[in-house]
Amino acid sequence: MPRYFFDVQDGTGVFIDQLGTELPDDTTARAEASAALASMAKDQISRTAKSQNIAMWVRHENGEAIAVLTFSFALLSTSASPRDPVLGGTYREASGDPSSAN
Amino acid sequence: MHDASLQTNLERLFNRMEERRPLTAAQKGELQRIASPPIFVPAKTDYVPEGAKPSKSSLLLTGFACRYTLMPDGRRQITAIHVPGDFVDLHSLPLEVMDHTVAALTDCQFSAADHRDLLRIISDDPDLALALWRLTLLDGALHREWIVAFAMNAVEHLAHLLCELFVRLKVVGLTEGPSFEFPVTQEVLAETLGLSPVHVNRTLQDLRANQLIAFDRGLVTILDWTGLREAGKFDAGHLHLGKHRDVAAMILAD
Repeated sequence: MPRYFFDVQDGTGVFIDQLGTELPDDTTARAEASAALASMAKDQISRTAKSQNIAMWVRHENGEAIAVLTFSFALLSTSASPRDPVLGGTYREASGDPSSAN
Repeated sequence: MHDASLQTNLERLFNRMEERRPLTAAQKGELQRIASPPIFVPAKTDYVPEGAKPSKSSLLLTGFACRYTLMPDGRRQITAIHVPGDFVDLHSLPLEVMDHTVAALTDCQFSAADHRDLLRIISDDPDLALALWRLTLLDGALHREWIVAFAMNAVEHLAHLLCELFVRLKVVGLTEGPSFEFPVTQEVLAETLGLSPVHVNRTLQDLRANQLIAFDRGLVTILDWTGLREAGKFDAGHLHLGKHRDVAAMILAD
């Protein structure tokens, strides 16, 4: 099985994968990258509680670039709620009159 | 039964059973008599499958074994890792049907004790019955701790697992200084921690980059006990060490 390398850049810096992971093919490598990015993002965001971008690059052992994955998280300090027209008024109480939100 | 390696390896079981009170020579003799000669099971092989109704219980003599459950989508969740000296399916005596599979992670040697023999010794000797019961309760304590560990992030969870393995192996004399053999793949760690192999790989390298551990071809070395213990929020309470509490004290002291 070929070895794939998964480099990551996140709020803590750049991680260059030196070990790699043996996987059957590129499709599996992309699926594994997605699962790994999701769980890394979960750990990272719950720990730091701040906006950040996470990116992952997947390399085949032969040097070929297989995929780039990105994850973007925003934590905004605002008093606006989904009921606030500033956010586009996309939220309405189901039973309410839409115009009353203004 | 007069096998020298069986003798040595049964000492690991005795060692664990004697945590709270010593076994008598007669009790050890009884256990030795009912233990079969070593049975070799190659790495990555199922040994006692889910759904089976074993007529004997297996004691791990050498190597690493696991218990796992296969999920409907084919993923494997490892629910316990067993080290030499563990009676891996003692619970199959009262429970009868296996609700999970016992498998060899590395090349293993098991010794089997016939359920009829086990029933006889537990009815003849309540102290021995209590000592065996205690082993299954310790399995339960490990499972509880693992549930707690599942609420941790990847770094904490892996650090916790490595701390725990070190203490368990130290108790049965299978550590060498700060090092222990743990020749399993990233995939096995992933199936144990409920993570993707890629995330395990990153987490291992994070622990290494922080100089908490080193690893090389299946040999794990703990470089910074205090750091690893803090990373894994580990204390050895769930291992209920009595005779070996010095092991925990040595490791857990600042």
